[in-house]
Amino acid sequence: MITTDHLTKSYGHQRVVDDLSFTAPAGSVTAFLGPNGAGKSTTMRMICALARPDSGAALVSGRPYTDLPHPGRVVGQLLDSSSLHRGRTGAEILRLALLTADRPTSAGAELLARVGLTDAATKRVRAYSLGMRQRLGLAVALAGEPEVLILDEPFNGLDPEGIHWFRRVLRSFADDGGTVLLSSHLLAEVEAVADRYVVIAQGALVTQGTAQELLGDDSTHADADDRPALVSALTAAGWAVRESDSGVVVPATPAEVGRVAHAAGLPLTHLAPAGGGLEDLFLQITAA
Amino acid sequence: MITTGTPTAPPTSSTAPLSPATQAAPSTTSRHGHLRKPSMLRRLRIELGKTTDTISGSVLTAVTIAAAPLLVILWITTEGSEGMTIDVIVGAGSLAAAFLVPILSAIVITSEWGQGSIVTTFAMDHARLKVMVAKILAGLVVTVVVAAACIGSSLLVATIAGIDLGPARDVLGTCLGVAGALVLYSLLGSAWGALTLNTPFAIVLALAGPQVANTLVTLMSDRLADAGPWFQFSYVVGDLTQGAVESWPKLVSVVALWIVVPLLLGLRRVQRADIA
Repeated sequence: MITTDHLTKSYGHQRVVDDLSFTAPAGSVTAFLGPNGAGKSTTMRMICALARPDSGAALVSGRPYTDLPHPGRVVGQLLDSSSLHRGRTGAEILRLALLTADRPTSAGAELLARVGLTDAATKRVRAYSLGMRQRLGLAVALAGEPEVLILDEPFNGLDPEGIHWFRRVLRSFADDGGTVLLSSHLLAEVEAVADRYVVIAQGALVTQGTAQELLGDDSTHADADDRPALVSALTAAGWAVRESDSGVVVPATPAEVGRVAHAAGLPLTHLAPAGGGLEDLFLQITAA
Repeated sequence: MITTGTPTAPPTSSTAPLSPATQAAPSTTSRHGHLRKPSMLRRLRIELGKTTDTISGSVLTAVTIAAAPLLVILWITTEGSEGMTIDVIVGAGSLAAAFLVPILSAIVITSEWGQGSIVTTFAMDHARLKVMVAKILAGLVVTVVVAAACIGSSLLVATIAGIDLGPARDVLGTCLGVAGALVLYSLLGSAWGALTLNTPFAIVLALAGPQVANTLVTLMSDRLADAGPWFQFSYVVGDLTQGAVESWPKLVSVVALWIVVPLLLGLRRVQRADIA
């Protein structure tokens, strides 16, 4: 489990993380969302004791990071895939990570096989593509058999198949009781794997919870040729309407929305449950 | 671009590709309570591995060691073996080492900053000062190996060439003095590496800094030049390679100025810095 408690950090006069409190529980994948520059990376660095908060604190498995007796065995991190030494081979980087984590270096070959890098093991990292670096970074993160994974934009540079595979790894890690905190500026990338969302903008918490909690149980995504008229009709019917680029989100069932539109004589161009479409909500929240 | 190394499709047959070690509910205290903290010896082993596993590290070390007998042979063939003394022989043999050891030690400290891998290193081991000490020790271990190899091969070449090296006591004194000087050169590189955390800056400052300071002092005034031995690195090192320490206070002064002060400032910075 990861918790942050009123985490605050400024660089100069710029407040990059602002009174941020959230929880990423064990046994789940928590997506850490926000536009570029929202403070996600800085927050993750503070959790890993790489950056010092001005005030507030972060706990990993109930302790401050610096109190973990052997952080390499508790937390696996992939904060920046460009932070792999380019002059070393993949196998050597993994060997050093295993040594640091006090694990047998014989585990390296298996880890490399699991991330699909066996053929590239003896190549120096400067010859790796971005996707290969992300895979090696994941192998390094897993080297210490951690119970917590902290991953900053891990899908960058991965092809669709790679993203799909990476999600399965994270799903299985969380299902076995692990904690995953996963940042992204693209909701669509994480929607398929995330159990919970922590959304921040300009360093401050916007919202956190499960997809259901964030959207409400009966949310509907709808659109009409005459969208302003649809908004007025739904508002007149007593619903709180959220508007976005691609339509409106209403805390009502599709049937209820359909009836309102029909009564108002508005042909709908789109009508669907909004459960799978957090995108609009995300865009709306972070645009504020 | 590489073609053969493109990641193949991940194992699709495996239904549980990777799982956290915690099969039951994760609990730090129960699972990690027994874990040993990383030991200094382990850190040193890791940092030594990092020193020699890159091309720059292994090539530098190999070149330094290989240069020693060649330099001695060159010296003997150009100067003739007549009147050769032990300090000239060992001095020639360690010429390359004196130049390359501070570079190597600086790289040991700075390379992880240049490469960004310090993020992973400090995330896996948050005892930053201990990691830094391990890096300094790694530089020293390599230096001692290099010093032994250079001095040993110099003596071997001289013996084969039939040069009378003089009494064993003088030989030992000179060898220890040269080794001591190389250790100081290593610490010089480490100190400026720790202060700058930047490979080119560290190398330039460690190699050229003392020389530039010498020149400036000499240019500025005669009176300052008299005080030179108190802060001229080359002065004490020159002393050492002769197999003697003329003035311990001056040695301490020079070491404090060129090694201890930059090292402490650098370590303080590393301890406090945000690692990005």
